[in-house]
Amino acid sequence: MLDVIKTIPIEYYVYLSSLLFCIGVFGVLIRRNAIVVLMCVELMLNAVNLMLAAFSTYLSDEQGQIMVFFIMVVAAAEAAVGLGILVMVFRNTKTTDIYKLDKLKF
Amino acid sequence: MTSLLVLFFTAVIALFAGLFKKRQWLQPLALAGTGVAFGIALVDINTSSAFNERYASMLQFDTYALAFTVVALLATALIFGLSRWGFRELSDTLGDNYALFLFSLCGALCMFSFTNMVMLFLGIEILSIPLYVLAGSRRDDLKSNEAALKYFLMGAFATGILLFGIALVYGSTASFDLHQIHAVITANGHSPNMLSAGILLILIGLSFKVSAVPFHMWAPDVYTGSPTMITAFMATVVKTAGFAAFYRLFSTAFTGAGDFWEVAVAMVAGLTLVLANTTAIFQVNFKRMMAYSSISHAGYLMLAILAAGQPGAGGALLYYTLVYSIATVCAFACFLLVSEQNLDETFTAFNGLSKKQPLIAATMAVAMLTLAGIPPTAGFFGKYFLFTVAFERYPWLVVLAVINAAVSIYYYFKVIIAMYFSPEENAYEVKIPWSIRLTLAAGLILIALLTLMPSSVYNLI
Repeated sequence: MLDVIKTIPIEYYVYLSSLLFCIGVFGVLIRRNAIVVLMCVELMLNAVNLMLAAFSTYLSDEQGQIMVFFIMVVAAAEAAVGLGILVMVFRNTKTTDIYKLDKLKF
Repeated sequence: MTSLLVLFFTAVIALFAGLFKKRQWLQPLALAGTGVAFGIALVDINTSSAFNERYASMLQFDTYALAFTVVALLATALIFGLSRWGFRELSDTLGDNYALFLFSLCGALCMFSFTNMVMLFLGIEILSIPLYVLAGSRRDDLKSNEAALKYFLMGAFATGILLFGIALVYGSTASFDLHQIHAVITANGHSPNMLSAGILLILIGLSFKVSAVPFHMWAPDVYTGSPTMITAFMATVVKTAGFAAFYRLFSTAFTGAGDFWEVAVAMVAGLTLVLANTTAIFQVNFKRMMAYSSISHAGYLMLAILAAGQPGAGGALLYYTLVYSIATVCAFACFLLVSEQNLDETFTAFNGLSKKQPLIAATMAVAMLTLAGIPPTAGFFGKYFLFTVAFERYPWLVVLAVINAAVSIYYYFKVIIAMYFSPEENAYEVKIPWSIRLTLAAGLILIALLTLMPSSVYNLI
C-alpha cells in the first residue's frame, strides 16, 4: 500500500496540496458568501492534511498522520462554532453576504 | 501542568453551576480557580516536579511558561473582579461565559509551555474557539454578531496559513518537536527553500493572531464590536499568549535558520509601529483607539522577537506584557463604568470626569500614562528594556519605535485632557460598585509594585 503511494514523487503531492491551498486562500479573499468562505477555509485545512499524510509516508514517520487527526478534530469544532455564528448572523440580518456586514466601519 | 488542570476543572464546574442556576457562586468560583492556579504556578516557578517532567515532550512548564502563566492569570483575575458588574445583564448564559473564559485560558497555558508544534496548534485553537463564541455573546446586537463573524473567519484563515507552514517545516525537518527541528536546522547549516517558506507562513499565521500590520485588519472591528469585558480579555491575555508562543517558537526552534525571518519580522514591526500609531490619532471611539493602541504595542513587542535567544529578551517581553496587561485592564474597567452609565463610547464620555469621580479619573490617567510610557511609570521601564535588547542589532527600528512612542502620547493624552480640562457636558451620575473599586485598587497596587521593582520581574527569565 505504501509502495503505491510512493510511485508518485513527493514533489507532486507538494504541488497538488499547494495548489489546493492557494485555491482556498483566493476563495477566502474574493468570495462574498460567508458559507463559501468557510468551505474555502476547510479546503485550506484539507490541503494541509494531504501534505502531512504524504510527508508522513515518505519520511516513514507516524507523527504527521497523528497531526492529521488533530486537524480534523479542530476543523470539526471550528465548523460547529462557525456555523453557529453564521446562523446567529443570518437570524438578525437575513443575509450571509459578508460585504453587507459593515456596521463597524467608520 | 497542575495550574492547567485546576483551570480546566474550574471551567467544568462553572458550566455545571450555570446549568443548576447557581448565579451567585460563579464569580467566587472563577476567582478561586484562578487564585489556586496562580498560587500553584508561583510555587512551581522555583521547583521542578516529576509530574511536570513526565509531559515534557509536549508541554514543559519551565520558568518561562510559569512566568507567563502568572501574567495571564493576573489579567484574568482582574477581569473576573469586574465581572459581577460587567456581566450583570447576562441571565441564562452567565455560567457559559465564565467557563469559556477559563477554557480559553487553558489554551493560553498550552501556548506558554508547548515544546511540540502540535501543542502550539492545539493551544491556539483552544484559545481562539471560545473567543469566537464570546465575541458574539450579545446575540441580538448586530455589532457583536459582526465582530464574531469577522473574528471567526480571520482566525480560521490564519489557522490554515499557520498549519501550512507547520506542514512545510515538518516536511523538511521530519519532526514537530522544537528541539529536534532546531537540531536539524543547525546540522544543515542552511535552510532549504521549503523550510524558509514554512517559517514565513508560520510567521504570517502568528502575526494574524497577535494582530500585527499588515495582518491587523480584523482587530479594530472585533475589538469595537465585542462586549467590553471580552475586548479586555482579547487585548491582554490573547496578546500575551500570542507573543509568548511567538517568542518560544522562534527562540527555541528557528534561531540559526537564517536572517530572512528576522528581516521579515523587522519589516512587520516597523509597519505596525508607524501605521497603528498614525491611525490611532484619528480615532474618536475609545475602544477603537484602544484597538489601534494594542496593535501598536504588538509593534514594540516584536522587538523582543527580533532579539530572540539573547539574554534579557524573554525578561523584557515578560515585563512589558505584564505592565501592558494590567494597565489595559484598568483602562477598560474605567471605560466600562463610564460608557455603560453614559451610553457613549467616544472620548466625550470622559468629559469632566475628574470632578465627578476623581478616583476613577486618576486610575484612568495612571493607565494612560503607563501605556504611553511616560518616564516614572512602569510602561517606561517596559519600553526601555525592549529598546535595550533590540538596539544592538536593529538601531534604526529602535529609533522608529521611540518616535512612535512620542506620537502615541498624543492619543493617550486626549483621554486625560477630556477628564481634567474639558467642561462637564452631560449631567449623568457615575456609580462605582465596590467590586470594581477593589479591582481597580488591586490594579493600581500592581502597577505601583512594577514601577518600584522592575528588575525582579525582568531578571526572572
